[in-house]
Amino acid sequence: MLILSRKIGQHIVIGGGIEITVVDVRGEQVRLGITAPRSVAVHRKELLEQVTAENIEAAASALNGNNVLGEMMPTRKTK
Amino acid sequence: MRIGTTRFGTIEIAEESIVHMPDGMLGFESVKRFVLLEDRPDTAFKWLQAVDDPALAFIVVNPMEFFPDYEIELSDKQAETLDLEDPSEAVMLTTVTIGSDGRVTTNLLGPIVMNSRTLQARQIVLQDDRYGSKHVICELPRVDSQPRQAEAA
Repeated sequence: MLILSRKIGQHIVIGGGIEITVVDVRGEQVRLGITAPRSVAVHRKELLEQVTAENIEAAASALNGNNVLGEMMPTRKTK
Repeated sequence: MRIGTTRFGTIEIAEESIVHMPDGMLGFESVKRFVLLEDRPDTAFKWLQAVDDPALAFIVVNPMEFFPDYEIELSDKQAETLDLEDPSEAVMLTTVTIGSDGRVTTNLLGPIVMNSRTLQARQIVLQDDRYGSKHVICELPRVDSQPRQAEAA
């Protein structure tokens, strides 16, 4: 991992068109400004991890049959 | 076409009803084709069944049925990649998790947005602190595995 020291107001440029600005530092919190092309998705990593974990849990709970919801579910058989 | 499913056995689906998710679902990125099973109008719950993985299916709901104030904001890029020409073409679905405590929750943080015209869909991760991944929609009656003790008179 490349580690750089930056001060408030300084920038990091990644490739063509992605720019990260250190907006503010207060205690343990750093505020970053991010400029990126519209094709680049920017996410807080923990939110991606949270949704991924929830998907895995949802898929597992949907597979564990014999739950009450199962009886409310659609059934469709081959004609 | 016929597809195999763990839960429903072999089912017949129309090829034109296949929902295409080019990025898959987070954690299941390699599974890109789903079919929405919703032929029971008497329940809010539908299935998003993977076409190419019999074991993979999500229970999904229209979140508006449970949270009428729920709203999501799509970026221009997200609307563009979904080829949305009009907001009315967008269909929202959120996954449902049945917790071991009997609580049934839905994930408002990571909704699936589908273009009802093209059946292209994507899971979006919102940048909105109002929404989390476990909003309770109902609770199932507890099923006690232990025999009940007779209550004292």
